[in-house]
Amino acid sequence: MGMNKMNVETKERELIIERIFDAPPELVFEAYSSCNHLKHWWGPKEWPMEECEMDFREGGKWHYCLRGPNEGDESWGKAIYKEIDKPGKLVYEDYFSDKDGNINEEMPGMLITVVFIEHGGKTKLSSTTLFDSPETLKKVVEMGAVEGMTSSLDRLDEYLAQLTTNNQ
Amino acid sequence: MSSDQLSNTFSALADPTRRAILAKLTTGEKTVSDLAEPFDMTMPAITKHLKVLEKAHLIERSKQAQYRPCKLHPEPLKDIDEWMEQYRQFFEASFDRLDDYLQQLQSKSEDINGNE
Repeated sequence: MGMNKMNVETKERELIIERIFDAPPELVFEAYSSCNHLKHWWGPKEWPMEECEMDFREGGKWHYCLRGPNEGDESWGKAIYKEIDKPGKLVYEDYFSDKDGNINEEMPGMLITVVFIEHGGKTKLSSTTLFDSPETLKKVVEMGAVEGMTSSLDRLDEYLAQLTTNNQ
Repeated sequence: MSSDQLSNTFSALADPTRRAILAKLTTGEKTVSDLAEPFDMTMPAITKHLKVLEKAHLIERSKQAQYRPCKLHPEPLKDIDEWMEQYRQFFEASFDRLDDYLQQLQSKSEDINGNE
């Protein structure tokens, strides 16, 4: 990777990842725009994308499955494209789903905004994930994700007390 | 990561009464009637909430004692946190692969461009 350093920032419900790719924005954008490209890189190596159906247009859907190393390990996702502005910006909602494409309503959805900026012949990509979630997740994240949640019951106590006050 | 388990946790936490029950349990074991008291709820209504919490492994209920007191089990809350962390790792791993893939594409397109 060398100089292609990655910046990661987590704040409350947002996860922001910035990274520079040694390729023009048109190509990086294209890598997002079809199953043929995505199957080469979407998901960790141990969890490759093995099924993919995509209708790459605003309002179109992307239904995919990642399979893990153990038999039966699979994770289905369903995305809905909200904004496609080639080659600068891509906005989509991402949900957990089943293999028939039914969205799992109990899991938080995510709004993902990817921005591709020309950067001296390379591309600066910034991916922002906003967890659209119940208040609960927001609180859990505020409490934990940034500092690394300890098993401290004190903090849990504080957090739950806060939740209770908010809800009464 | 089991998304079934996580969705159980989320759905259990979505209800304010259940969150309040968990808050009460942070001060120690409680019986069902202790828990029912502040909510002005019937015992069956509270029991229903407790069952949801138990199923999501957010509480444990003693099998021995006559009143089956409830105890907090905070592990699933940590799982949510861990899930966020896994999500970050997911992106990082994907972007590492994208980096390699873009290199491959570009070395290929140099060859292809000669024919176009």
